[in-house]
Amino acid sequence: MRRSFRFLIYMRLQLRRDDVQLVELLRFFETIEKRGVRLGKGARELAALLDRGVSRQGFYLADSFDATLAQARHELRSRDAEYAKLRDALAQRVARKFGREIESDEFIVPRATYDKMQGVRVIEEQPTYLLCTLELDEPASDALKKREAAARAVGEAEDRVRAAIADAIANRRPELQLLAEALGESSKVSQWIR
Amino acid sequence: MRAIASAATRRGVRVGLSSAGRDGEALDAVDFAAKPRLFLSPETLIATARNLLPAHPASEIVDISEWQTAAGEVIFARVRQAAFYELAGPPKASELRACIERLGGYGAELVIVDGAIDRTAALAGGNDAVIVAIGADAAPTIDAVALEARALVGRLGLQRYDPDGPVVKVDRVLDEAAAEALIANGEQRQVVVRDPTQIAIAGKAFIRIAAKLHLRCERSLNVIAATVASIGHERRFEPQDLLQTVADATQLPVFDIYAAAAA
Repeated sequence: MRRSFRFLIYMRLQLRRDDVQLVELLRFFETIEKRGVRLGKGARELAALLDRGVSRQGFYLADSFDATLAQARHELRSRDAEYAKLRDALAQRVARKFGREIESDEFIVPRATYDKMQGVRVIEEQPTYLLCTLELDEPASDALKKREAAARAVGEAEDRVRAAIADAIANRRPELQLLAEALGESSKVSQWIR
Repeated sequence: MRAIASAATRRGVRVGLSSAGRDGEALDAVDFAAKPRLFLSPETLIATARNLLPAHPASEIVDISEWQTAAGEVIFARVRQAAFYELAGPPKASELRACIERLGGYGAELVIVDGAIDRTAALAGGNDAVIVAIGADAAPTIDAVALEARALVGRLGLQRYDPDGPVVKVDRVLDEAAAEALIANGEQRQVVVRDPTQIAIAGKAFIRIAAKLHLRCERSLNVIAATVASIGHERRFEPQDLLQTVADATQLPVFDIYAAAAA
């Protein structure tokens, strides 16, 4: 019930729950203040919440938004490093045999040269080339599964933070609407907050 | 683009990436062929369409541009966690020029843009370098591919005109018929186009016409290298032969990324 209510609020506010929209909201507050309009309590709280994500050059869903997000990212970095170590060792082995660098998890091998390659799995065949990935051994495969689980956990934690911010926006909608009216049509926020 | 970006990142160079079309998608937007996605390292700066930015992992949003694409406005973002990304930069040449400068302004030490020849106009007159890519599908024989490459490099590498010398300026695209008319009139002045992309003459015809007219441009391009792909949809060539023949024809460093070879 709560989830569907929240969805309706998002729909009404046209909240896309992407981080670009949060940058638009921060700029909206800046413009309001430049025009000498004082932000009310609710808007100031929202601005303070978003300030946690203000970075050197822009906005990032930073670790400071939520302890579980920070923890999930820390876990992902560890799992990433473990996987990268095992994957790089395999990639170097294949690269030595093939005489070319394996730069990414997905790479192209010309058909004519594929039969020389060992430790490579074909993802998709094309007339002129094969889209390949490294054949992972058991330790690397396990490390990849753990890395993917950690990445999913980061995704879920990021979504929880976005949902909390969206709730905070929705709860201050009347005040934001008044500010949007003061600013007029020039702001993108004015268009999605109505 | 992948090879250059990857090499630069390994050397600790901060890279900025965009596309004059679309890059990084799992299936090619033109022929739906599967291709490797674009895996980017942390600190890479990108300019891409809003709806192509992955929700996870979150990226640092650096700026929002006013340039519209079919997938939303172009967003400047910084990769914070290594992940697959898709790139779609601004559609207009003037916007692409500004996009390159803004990526530099946000801290990119090397900006790489992937795109078709007709979009390189954005690079004319700047300090940018152009790397041309040519493959086995360009022509039926190695010599014919090399000739196409020579003509392309000759066209893109047109010299800037001498402002002290006599000129005839061409304000529109110079096609073969217009060039032939100038030759028939015995034109000896510098024939000046805005930039090399304003010459719509390729292959043998360009080489023949360039030998008879003093073709020049107002804003030049800096062609520094070429890449070759020896395997095409319709034919394949002996890789080393293609590499060396194109290098001889263009007088440029030439690289075969697939074969990890250079000439």
